[in-house]
Amino acid sequence: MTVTQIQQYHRPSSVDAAWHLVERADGAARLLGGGTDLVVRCPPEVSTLVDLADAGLRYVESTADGGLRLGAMSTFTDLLEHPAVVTHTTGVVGEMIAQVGSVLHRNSATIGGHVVRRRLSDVLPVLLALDATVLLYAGTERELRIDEYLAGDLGPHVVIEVRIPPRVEGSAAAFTRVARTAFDHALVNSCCRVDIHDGVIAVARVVVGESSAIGRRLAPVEEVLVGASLTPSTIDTAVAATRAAVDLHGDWIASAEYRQHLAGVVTQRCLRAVADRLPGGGA
Amino acid sequence: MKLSFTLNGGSVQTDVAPGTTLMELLRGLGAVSVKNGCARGDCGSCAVLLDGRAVTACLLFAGQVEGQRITTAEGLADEVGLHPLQQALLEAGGVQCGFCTPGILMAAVDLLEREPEPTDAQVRDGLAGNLCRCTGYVKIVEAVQDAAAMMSSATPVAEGEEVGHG
Ligand SMILES: Cc1cc2nc3c(=O)[nH]c(=O)nc-3n(C[C@H](O)[C@H](O)[C@H](O)COP(=O)(O)OP(=O)(O)OC[C@H]3O[C@@H](n4cnc5c(N)ncnc54)[C@H](O)[C@@H]3O)c2cc1C
Ligand code: FES
Ligand code: FES
Repeated sequence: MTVTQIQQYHRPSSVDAAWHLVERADGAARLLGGGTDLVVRCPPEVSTLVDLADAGLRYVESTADGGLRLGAMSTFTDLLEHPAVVTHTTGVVGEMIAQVGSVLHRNSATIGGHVVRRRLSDVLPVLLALDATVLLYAGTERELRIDEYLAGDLGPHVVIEVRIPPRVEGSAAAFTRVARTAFDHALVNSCCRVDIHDGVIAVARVVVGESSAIGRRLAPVEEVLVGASLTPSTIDTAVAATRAAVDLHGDWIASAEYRQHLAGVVTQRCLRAVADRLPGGGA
Repeated sequence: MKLSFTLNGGSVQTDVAPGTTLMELLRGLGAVSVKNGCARGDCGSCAVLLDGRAVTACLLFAGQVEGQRITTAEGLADEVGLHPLQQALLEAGGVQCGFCTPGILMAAVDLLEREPEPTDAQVRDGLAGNLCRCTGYVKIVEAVQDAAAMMSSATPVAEGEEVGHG
């Protein structure tokens, strides 16, 4: 329904112009990506929209070394239809995006709006597991690791792009979510990545998220994995460590105990998929 | 604020309050096939095509369609007849109360454009954002498959001939 407090709508043709408009408005202006969040959740103090449609941020590029640059205004459908995105690190990005909302939603929601929004996310666990960075603009450009970006209170800024580093040789990743229906928010989700060097796990990322939180890396589980090989017994140990490390909330949909149990289930599914995707099966 | 875009092939110049959603704008312009089922992206009954891709009109500000091409269910049939998807939904019994039907049509047009011969799983995935309280979906999925078959077997039109949907 009409967002009645909105009095002005701008469509600047550069990132700098967009930033100036929000910076000068002292909290009364918001940048507009796809709008899927802002239309229903526009804060009452906001009276100006700054649409980024003409700011040149809708692009997907793969860099010479195999990394990805995802322009902030790229829709999830743009990403899902880009061959370099869907094949990156054993297909984990495409696997995840195909499970975000429905096609109606993926056709307008943007990656930039998603990282700024910081809620209810299937996307952030994957970005955390792949060590993604965020390039932002606030008078000057700055690149932050995604975990730093999510932790910080950065003031007015424009997200320019999300960067995903090149796939490391011997690396595999997987994403899993459990939701009540295909179109519901995940009760619990997980993304796991391992990089194998000389037959053992050199780098491990285990991220678990839930419907009300944005997902976080579980350091104790990653420690269990590093130095081991990804055998069924290593996975069992990691699953137990996951259940011990998570701190998930309970609500009318699922109790905290059930979510804790599910955290083990999704991590197990992810790690098994990772093992299957590693050259030679990982074990 | 001033806004111009294309609606079902015709150009529209209008003046809207800057916080207006696309759903309200289109309904105000007479495109009442755009249904308000939830106004929060959950039901798909407001789906329209934005430059050929199906989106929920309730989650877009009107200003986002400046210079773009919008198609609603009103724009599917032509003087020759119904769009094959409309025909197939009628014939397969994929319509009961009809409230979800325009949104289902737009999602299905987008799907068949990208995937002219979808599997049942692809049809279900393409319609995952559209709720129907009446049919149980089985006949809707059948109808989309029937329309896909109709569209792929349609004889190619000779150059210069009128293109009808029927
Ligand atoms: C029906 C529905 C189902 C969903 N299902 C899922 C799901 O299954 N999984 C999941 O992970 N998510 C899901 N979501 C969340 C969805 O992915 C986000 O709403 C979406 O990604 C937000 O992007 P947007 O472009 O629409 O953001 P907008 O609404 O445009 O903006 C969101 C916020 O970001 C700011 N912003 C936008 N772009 C920029 C930028 N470039 N720089 C700085 N600030 C910016 C805006 O000011 C606003 O505060 C769902 C949402 C809906 C409505
Ligand atoms: S009215 Fe738009 S999705 Fe329900
Ligand atoms: S036919 Fe009634 S909601 Fe679908």
